[in-house]
Amino acid sequence: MLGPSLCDDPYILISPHTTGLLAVVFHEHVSVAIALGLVALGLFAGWLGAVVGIGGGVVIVPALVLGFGFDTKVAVASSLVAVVATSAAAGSAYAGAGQLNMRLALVLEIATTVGGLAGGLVAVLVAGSFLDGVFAVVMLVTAYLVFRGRDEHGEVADAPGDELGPASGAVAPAPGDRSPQVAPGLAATTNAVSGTEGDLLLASLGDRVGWEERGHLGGAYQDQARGVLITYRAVRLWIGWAVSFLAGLLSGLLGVGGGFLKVPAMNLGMKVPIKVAAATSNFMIGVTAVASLFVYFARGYVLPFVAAPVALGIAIGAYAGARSAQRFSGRTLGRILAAILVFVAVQMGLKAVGINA
Amino acid sequence: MPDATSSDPRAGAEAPSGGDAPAEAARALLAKRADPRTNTIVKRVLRSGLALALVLLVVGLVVQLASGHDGANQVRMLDIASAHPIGEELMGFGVLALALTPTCGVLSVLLSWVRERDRVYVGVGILIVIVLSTAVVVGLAGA
Repeated sequence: MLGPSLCDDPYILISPHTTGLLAVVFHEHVSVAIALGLVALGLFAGWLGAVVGIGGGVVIVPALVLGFGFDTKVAVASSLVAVVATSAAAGSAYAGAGQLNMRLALVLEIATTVGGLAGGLVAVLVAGSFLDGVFAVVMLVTAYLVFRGRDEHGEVADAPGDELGPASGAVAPAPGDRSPQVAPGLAATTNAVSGTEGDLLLASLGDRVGWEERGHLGGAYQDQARGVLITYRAVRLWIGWAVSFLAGLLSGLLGVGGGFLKVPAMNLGMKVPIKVAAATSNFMIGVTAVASLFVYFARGYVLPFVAAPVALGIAIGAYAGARSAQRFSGRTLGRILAAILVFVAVQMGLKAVGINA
Repeated sequence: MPDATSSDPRAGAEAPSGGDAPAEAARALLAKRADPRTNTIVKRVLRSGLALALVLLVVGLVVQLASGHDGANQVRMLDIASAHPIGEELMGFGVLALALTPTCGVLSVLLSWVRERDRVYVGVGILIVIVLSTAVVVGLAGA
């Protein structure tokens, strides 16, 4: 597939089997064709990430390895660059909406960045085929999660948090009522006077409704769709730390964001509302990816000509995807994606054991 | 349970005193609120870093393609300035700008917490900066 190894020759040839086909179409402008192909890959991965809710890495790495014929570590480094771009774009959008909890993000980042650093160090030492094998397993797990239709945008697993609604709207027994241990004091207050209190808060806060709570891993945000204020406090920090370390390790090893692990850990394990979990995870994956990207970048696995078009494509694709997300059925797309992931996982698995299918 | 005790919620929230339980509860919640400007600062830092990085990546890619070079060179973090051709150098700086974007996001949050004198979280922020610095040092040490 890929010609010389990185150690032998700093000049990396584009895969012959890719250029063979493209050269027929584009004649001498093979670089242009490859760049366009990489931008298209980024666009697709970014769009898919926004619509289906999985990060781009799980699409980008196998496409670069199997489709374009790049070395796995080059693919992982390129994917990390793309993950950072997506995280910066999405993180800034969520921060604007007041759903990002920076205290929660950085407390969990202690475990994730250590995991990311460890993953990056292990990845540059082990053989590429080992990474292919691990990637195949992670793709199968992702396929299962996507097939089940886990909804990162929000409705299915949304649970904890106390709702403080507008006085006019009768707030149904809030999901927070099921978990008064999240914030005992607040829950009691909410149960008694939810409508008026929420109204007072919303009115006095104006546009800036999201906030973090001093002294606790908690806060509040406004659910725009329902017009209610939701307060929350995180519990069971150890679950967040354990899963975050694992997510960081996988991020460094494989160039994936790890949001598919962190969001459920925060939501189901730590009782953080899904919107805060998704926003916080989106910011976190950028910081985590940087920890391992520094290792890849310092050791020469970043090929700007590969990383740049993918990063550009994913930034535009994620933006377009976020705008068009309502028009596509995430569930149907998710099932198609799950089937593709299983197929590609098998290919990666075969490559790991030395069979090029 | 009465739905509302005041016709003007804003007036209730801003009333200095009174036995209004919802207003008291609202004030109690607000008293625990951390500085909400932190999110705004992070948003600006991430947007600016991303914009700078994307401009460098686009210009670098266009220059690279226009120059007619085939293939892709590796660019190490410390050798970006000496990368050839110029398009790859620009894209290399774009990748560096991208890598520094979340890092600057963390630093801006850390400064915000220093201003708030939230000592525990200043410690947390410093820990993250130490881990990221270690990544650079360890990465370079083995390069």
